[in-house]
Amino acid sequence: MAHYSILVTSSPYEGQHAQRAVAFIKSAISQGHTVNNIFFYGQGVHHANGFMVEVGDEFYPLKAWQALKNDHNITLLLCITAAIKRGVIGEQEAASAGVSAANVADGFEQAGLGEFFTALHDCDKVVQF
Amino acid sequence: MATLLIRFTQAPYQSSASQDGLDFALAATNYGHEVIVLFEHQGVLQLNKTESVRGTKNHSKRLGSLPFFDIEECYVCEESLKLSLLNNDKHELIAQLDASLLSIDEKLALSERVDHVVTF
Repeated sequence: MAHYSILVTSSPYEGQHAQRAVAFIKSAISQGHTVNNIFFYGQGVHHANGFMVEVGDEFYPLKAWQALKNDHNITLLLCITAAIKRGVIGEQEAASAGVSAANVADGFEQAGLGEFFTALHDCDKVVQF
Repeated sequence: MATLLIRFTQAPYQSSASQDGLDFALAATNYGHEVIVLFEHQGVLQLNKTESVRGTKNHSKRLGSLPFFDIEECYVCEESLKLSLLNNDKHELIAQLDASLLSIDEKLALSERVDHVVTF
């Protein structure tokens, strides 16, 4: 059984990348594989924006990521450098930059590329969406 | 240690992908992974040296630093290069990075000998 690391570089409503990623991860887990982490990088950091609001009849990726974390203990890693320049910031950065609110959604951990590449030493496969 | 093939497929200033990809490649070597880069599709346009513009990181200049990060295997898709609108002699970074041209079959062989493929 393989250990997977998932790399998300597409933004939430860019085609069906997020839906495909979630379906892939669920399927991998159901077949006995392990998904160690999901790393949100580049335009993918918009997935961690906690100010997104669910629209009734559309797939809402944020809820799906949080469910994967809660149900399967998958770490959601957010690239902090890519995120802060796109306006996805935590409490600490908001305070130091004088921004009125923080918006990193629950369940996401701010990290660097270093965390992703360190975890990669224990992964067999990387799949990018 | 894993071997990563990083594909650059977009024009240098078309989106943030080229810059994100380069940061990704440089970070990978810092954490003990081996990186091979391949320029394909519109990505071959990254091989032209461009002037610096204020407020924008000079991508071609940054690409020139790949060998300093121990990224020495650089490849260019031969077919994409033929289709690019510029003459081959404009792609000055090919010589600077000592990049080799690959046929479609060679690209497939390359993707099979690496552990992971990531596309920017």
